[in-house]
Amino acid sequence: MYSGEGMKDIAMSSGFNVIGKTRAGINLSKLTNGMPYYYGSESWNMWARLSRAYVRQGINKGASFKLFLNNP
Amino acid sequence: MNKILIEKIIPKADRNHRDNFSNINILDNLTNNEWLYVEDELIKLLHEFPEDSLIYDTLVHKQSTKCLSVMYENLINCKKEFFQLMIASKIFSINQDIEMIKSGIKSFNNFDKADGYYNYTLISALSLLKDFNNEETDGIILKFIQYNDSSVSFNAKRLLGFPFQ
Repeated sequence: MYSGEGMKDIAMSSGFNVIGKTRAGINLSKLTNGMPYYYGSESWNMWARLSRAYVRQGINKGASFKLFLNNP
Repeated sequence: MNKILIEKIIPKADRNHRDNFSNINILDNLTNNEWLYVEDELIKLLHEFPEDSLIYDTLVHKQSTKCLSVMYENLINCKKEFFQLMIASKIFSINQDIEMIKSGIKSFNNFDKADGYYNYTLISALSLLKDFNNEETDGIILKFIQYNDSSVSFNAKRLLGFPFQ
């Protein structure tokens, strides 16, 4: 998981999976392709919902998450 | 100074360009002349994209007052309650117009609770309410500290400085 400028690249280059690279993330990327993305937008809410589901499912399976933060 | 500078500050509004994007470093390093150019261009963008929160956040960060008339205009024309709250909050962050607090609360109270994304909207909305830094809006946030959605209640506690688990 990541939040903040540059954190996605650092997470990925550190060998971690990010939500956009999961199967659900790839599908949602296609679905929201070209849609406006800023808070309050439909696309923003769809990604928020997927992020939550991703974490919930992981926790239910006993997974741990590494959080990359920049200027939290 | 050209279009490229504007695209660096306000990239295309899709997730590929906006995910984890921040323009703070660029903004803080603009010369006065550059900012004067950028400010005019952002005001044009406010007309074109009246719901794009990054444009508002950018103008708030620079405490632009030149943009206020367009922000008020966008608020009047806006039909969606979330964006009404967002615009009111941004105007308030620049000029502390107390009418914006009333406007923001009214919009918040009109949110569609049956909307499937209501809880996700609430998370951003509570942050916008907190920007009013006002007793009444803090009181609204307080009502959500025991809300049945943990993401919302967590953020309500965080915004009010309460301890959370």
